[in-house]
Amino acid sequence: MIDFWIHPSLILIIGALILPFVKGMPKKAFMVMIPLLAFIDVWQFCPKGVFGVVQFMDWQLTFGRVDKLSLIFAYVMSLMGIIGTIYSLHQDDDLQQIAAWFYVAGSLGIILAGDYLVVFLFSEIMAFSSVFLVWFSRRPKSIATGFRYLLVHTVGGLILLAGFVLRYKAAGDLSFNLLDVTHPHLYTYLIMMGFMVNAAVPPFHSWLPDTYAEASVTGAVFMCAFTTKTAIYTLIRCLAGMHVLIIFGVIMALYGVVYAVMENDSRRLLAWSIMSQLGYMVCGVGIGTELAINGAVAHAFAHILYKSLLFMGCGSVLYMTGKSKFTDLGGLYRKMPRTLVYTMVGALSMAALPFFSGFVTKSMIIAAGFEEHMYWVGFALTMASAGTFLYVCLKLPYLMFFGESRASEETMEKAADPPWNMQLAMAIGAFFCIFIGSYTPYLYNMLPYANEFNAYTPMHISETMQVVAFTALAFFLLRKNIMPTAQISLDIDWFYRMAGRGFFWLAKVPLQTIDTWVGVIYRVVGLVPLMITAKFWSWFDWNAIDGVVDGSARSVRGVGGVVRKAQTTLQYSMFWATAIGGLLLMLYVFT
Amino acid sequence: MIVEFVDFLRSRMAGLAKIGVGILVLLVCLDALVINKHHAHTAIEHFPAFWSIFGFVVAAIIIIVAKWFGRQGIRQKEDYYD
Repeated sequence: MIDFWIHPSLILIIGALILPFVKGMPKKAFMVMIPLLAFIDVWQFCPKGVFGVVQFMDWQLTFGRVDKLSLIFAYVMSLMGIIGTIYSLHQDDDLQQIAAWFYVAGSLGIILAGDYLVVFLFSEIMAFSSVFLVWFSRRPKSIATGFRYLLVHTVGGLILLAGFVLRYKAAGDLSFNLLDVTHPHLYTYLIMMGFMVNAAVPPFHSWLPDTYAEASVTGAVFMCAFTTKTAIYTLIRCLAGMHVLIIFGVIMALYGVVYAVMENDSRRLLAWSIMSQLGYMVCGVGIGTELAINGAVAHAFAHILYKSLLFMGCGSVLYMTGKSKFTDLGGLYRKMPRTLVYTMVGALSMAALPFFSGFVTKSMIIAAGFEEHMYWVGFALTMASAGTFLYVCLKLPYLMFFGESRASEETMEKAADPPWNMQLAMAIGAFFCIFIGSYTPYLYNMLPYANEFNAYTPMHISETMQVVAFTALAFFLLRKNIMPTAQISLDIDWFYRMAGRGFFWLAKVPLQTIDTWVGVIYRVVGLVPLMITAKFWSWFDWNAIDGVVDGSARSVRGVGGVVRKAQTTLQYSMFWATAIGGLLLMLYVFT
Repeated sequence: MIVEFVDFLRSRMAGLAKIGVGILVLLVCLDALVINKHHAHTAIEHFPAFWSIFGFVVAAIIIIVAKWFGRQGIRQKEDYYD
């Protein structure tokens, strides 16, 4: 056991702060070195135990709780930090890199945290750094998308805050451990909801496709890995065995499939597929047996690698051609053959074909469902697997790389394999996808529980191949029904987008009208009679008692002025009352 | 190299289709005759080529449901929110 322990997040944060001062060629080396150091720190210098305990006011904050569960997540997150950074080496955008590293640091911070305050602190760091990855994409819609993202995550954070503060009141305990899921309290549900927002569980999922499709090319590669899988970690940590999550998991697995099949934008399709794959993990958390938890952890591990690989592939297409919609693409295999190969490795891993990573991880969750005699869960998740193969192995390559080209000549002209660093990052990702699937002890030995699971039984291989092959047959026969159209899919975010619009309308139309009318009434009822009175008195003063009651006309004018001022003040206070009232209404609705 | 390989496959689509059908038949035969289903979780999995039927049916359901769902007003013009 070593005496000192360095928090890996600290390495990334310090690295991020130094980055702007490093120039020239050493910069690229520095960019690779920092996440590499963080990875080595997690890999070699994180012995199991509790570290970094800090006294803060009345509370003891634990920054480093290292056990098998936190270690495997920290391992894959820091590995992803390296891949993501290599993928973004070509771009000279310090701010984006700083945001990305803070984001990774936030994720590692949550994973190693031992109490809710630290979890909360780092989850806010994550939300506020990742929003820059959206804003820096500098697309027309990114500002609004970023604010929506921030709003949703702030609300999620507040729900989590409410949950653990209530728990602190009730139990006097802030430690971030397994909750009593058999006797859930209000705070259990609040904590669950807080994490569900981050895990994109319906009905809190709309931020995910909304944001990831708008993020920058490199930003999306980071984003697709960290927020949701960190949320899966937090769910495993405190809510393993919470049965209601099974239902949520199955719903989101199938919901994501249907939306992905309809989708026209390649990166949005991948975002929907994240939601679908998270469904398996949420299901695993809900089942809560050792096999299910192992499955959820393993699938999160594999998912981070293959999903980032897919985002890198589609990101390369977007980076090179400027297009991400299937209606603008097609037939790219001639121009981007290597990107095609890497993307296909990611797709086959996600569709869980033998020798690819998904095959050895996804099946653990499905098997856990069958072993607990929840047959409907097993069949529903297998159905989602068929759907996964359908949209990621058939639809996506068919519409992007093969099939007839819908791309303009200009797009085809620009298409080529991306810069070397992007290809290198994809090659590393593809290596891990195949390595995990082909050499199972690598991943299985890291899992939190002892693992006897064998994915390579003849029955399982036969089952997978049959489902896949006959899904392909159905695709071949019915493919005309899922040809892309230049349209978007409405989702639950419709409600809050429209609610926001409704609020603006309310402020603009009826309240403005009332305000105008009140102004008119005051002018008629208040000012006009006063002016008439004042004029009368002025006349009276001038003509009748001038000199007798000297100065009375002046004083009446003075009163008129005061009333006018009061009326203006009233309009101001009405404006403020509207603004504050609106704010309170928003707080009431959104918290 | 990759491009030539894809072009090679594309020029022989009819042959590929035959191979595809061959694979489907092979998978069904293997499932019905060879695979040991002793450890199957449910009784229905003992039905010959159960997962083939399952795969085809659920994929068709997903495609049809997605198409139907999109037509219920879910698919909208791209400038819907603007």
